[in-house]
Amino acid sequence: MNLKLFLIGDRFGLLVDPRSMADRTMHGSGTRLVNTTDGVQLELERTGTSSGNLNCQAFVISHSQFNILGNQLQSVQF
Amino acid sequence: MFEVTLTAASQVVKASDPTKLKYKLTNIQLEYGMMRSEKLADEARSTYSSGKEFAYDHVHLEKTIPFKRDTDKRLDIKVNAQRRSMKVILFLFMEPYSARAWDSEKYVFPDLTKVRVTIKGSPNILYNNGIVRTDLWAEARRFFERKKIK
Repeated sequence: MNLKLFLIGDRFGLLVDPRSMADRTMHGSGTRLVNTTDGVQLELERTGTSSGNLNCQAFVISHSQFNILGNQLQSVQF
Repeated sequence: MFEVTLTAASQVVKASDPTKLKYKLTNIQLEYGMMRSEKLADEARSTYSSGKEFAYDHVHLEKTIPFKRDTDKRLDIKVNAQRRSMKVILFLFMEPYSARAWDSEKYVFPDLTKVRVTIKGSPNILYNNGIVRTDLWAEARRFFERKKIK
């Protein structure tokens, strides 16, 4: 997946990049969250404007791998 | 085996009587390539039987947080997905879903003034108190500048 910049239309995305090393293109360069209860905590502050409701959708994108052994899917790791 | 989940007809087509909507997908095809060289095929077969890994990016909608535009001035969000390598957390802000008027490419800017991220209990070394509007150019400029201006 590569970052692309779109500057048209009503498109805003907030992207948090928790890379653990300088090269973010390397597979496995992200943050390791295993056996942790703290996880990632985010505080977003905003000004209250206009009315109605909004939904904030949080997507987690992680480096993953699937393994084939004996011509069959053996495991999926992420 | 392949499992395909299709959304309800009311989300796809519009008509005056929403109870009678239908749609169908035709010509769904599986694409594949074929190896005609026996040597290459043997090589592939032995690779798949002795072990082969594919690296990819796994995308997961972790949670949806509804909030009120006028009164909710602070959102506390905890993401605790157990991942060996979390690459990106992406937030999209959408108006509540209504099937009749829905722009799938409309992602609203929710008037953010400050974003603070704490990973595994440690605050950000550069932006300990959160990243505010005036910090953004320093972070975003790499997307706009092709070369360093001297």
